Amino acid sequence: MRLRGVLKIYVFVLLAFLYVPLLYIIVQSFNSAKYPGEWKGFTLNWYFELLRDQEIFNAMVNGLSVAILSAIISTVLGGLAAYYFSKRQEKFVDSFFYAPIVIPEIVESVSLLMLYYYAGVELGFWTVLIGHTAYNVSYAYIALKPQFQVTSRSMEEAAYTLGAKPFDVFVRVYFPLALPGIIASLLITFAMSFDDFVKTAFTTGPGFKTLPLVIWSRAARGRATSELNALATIMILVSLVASYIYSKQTLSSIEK
Amino acid sequence: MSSKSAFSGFRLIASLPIVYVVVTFYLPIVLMAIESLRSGGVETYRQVLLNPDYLSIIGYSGFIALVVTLTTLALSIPAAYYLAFYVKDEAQKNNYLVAFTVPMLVNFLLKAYALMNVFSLIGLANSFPAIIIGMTYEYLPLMLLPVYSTFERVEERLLEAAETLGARPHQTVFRVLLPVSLPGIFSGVTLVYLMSFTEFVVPAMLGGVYGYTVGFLIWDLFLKYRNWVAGSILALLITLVSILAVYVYMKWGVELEA
Repeated sequence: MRLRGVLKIYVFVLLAFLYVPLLYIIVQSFNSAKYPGEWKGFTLNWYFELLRDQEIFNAMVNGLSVAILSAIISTVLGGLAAYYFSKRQEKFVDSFFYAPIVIPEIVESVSLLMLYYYAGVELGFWTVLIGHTAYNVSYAYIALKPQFQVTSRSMEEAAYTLGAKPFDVFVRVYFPLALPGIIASLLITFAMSFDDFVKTAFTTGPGFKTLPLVIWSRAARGRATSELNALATIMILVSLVASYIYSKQTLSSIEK
Repeated sequence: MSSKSAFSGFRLIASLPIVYVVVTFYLPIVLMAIESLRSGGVETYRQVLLNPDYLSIIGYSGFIALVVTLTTLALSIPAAYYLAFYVKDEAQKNNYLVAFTVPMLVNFLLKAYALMNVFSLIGLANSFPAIIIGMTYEYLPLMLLPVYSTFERVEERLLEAAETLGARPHQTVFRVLLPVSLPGIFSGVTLVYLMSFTEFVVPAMLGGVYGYTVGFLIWDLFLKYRNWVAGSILALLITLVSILAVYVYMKWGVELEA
């Protein structure tokens, strides 16, 4: 009984360890001091400063456009593969798509940089987009394959018997049933691309920066600033909400 | 039109994703393998892999990964034990799991940045402990979840039986619970070891001069020193290590549910 109480406190300490640094950033983003630390009064100034910061605005637009396009392209490509192979037992295909997730990102990035170099392409928006999509196809495949497998062959055959064309079967039978998987796939691939640092750093050219690159260069260059904390707060809150919804959903689907 | 011929047309479209992944993922790795052999072949491999500077960085990365793996394991076991055996209410259990999973999905760069703030406040910035704490922070949920999920599957009767037979609590844990949960522990250990061995952004951000790991070495060899041959050889080496780890994981680890 006593062990139970001690362990409960321990679990809360562990959770505090995970959340306190995030909370600290959030609180410090309202500190009117230029550098975090000593509390000098409440301000929203750093958030207005963010709006005026051209580099951050550009980086956000860059990141969003790459992430949205990459999410759509990889969900289409991954979905095609998941649909096609959901009915074939080919073990090697799974491994084929798992590899880009398993191999360390630094390896993927340096090798892709070499390919770009030998192909003589100019680095920037397109090379980053192609690079993110390279691993996102795999995430989409993994998110979508179980969904397509659930749709049984008999359902498909029933549709054919009733005179549906293959395209109709896909659009009107598979697609609605796979919709939760498609949403999950879009979310995951979007987040993977928007948050990406290593691959972006290797495949981008001069002038094309995303938010993780800006955070890295500013934080590594000097020290934490209150303005950076405001940016971090927004990004943390967005991902906290998104990941809360996502993990709540996946955990509850396991139980069913 | 029979559905069969339509399907062969579809096969062509379905090969698109395969082609895409081959060109953007597999081809570059083949290219890297060729690059690594370009100057001097096996002799260069020997030189790079026996280079004392590189070796010490690889060893140092392995050491950091080991410390991080053991720390996360030690921290995870009591928490997993509490969640699996003391929290009876399913909804409450779910809430705990969500609470541990959510920070895992926050951008790792932001988490490292948050820790950097806290460390500079308490005067721990740019130190070896900062790296260990930072990476433990990063990978704790990754260890906790597999360990928890195997604990969850252990029959509680087994533990009760041990107690009835007179085992002390620590005996029950070390001689009954942990041995039967080895697959889950194994999964967590391989996962965390592999990820922390190749991680370099977090140590670089938090460790200052202590944060130079093999990932950063590869980064520098490509972007700073332009030594692509050595960089390729080291990248192939860590690719090999990861494939090996995944093989071991699939053979002896547990399937993760999430």
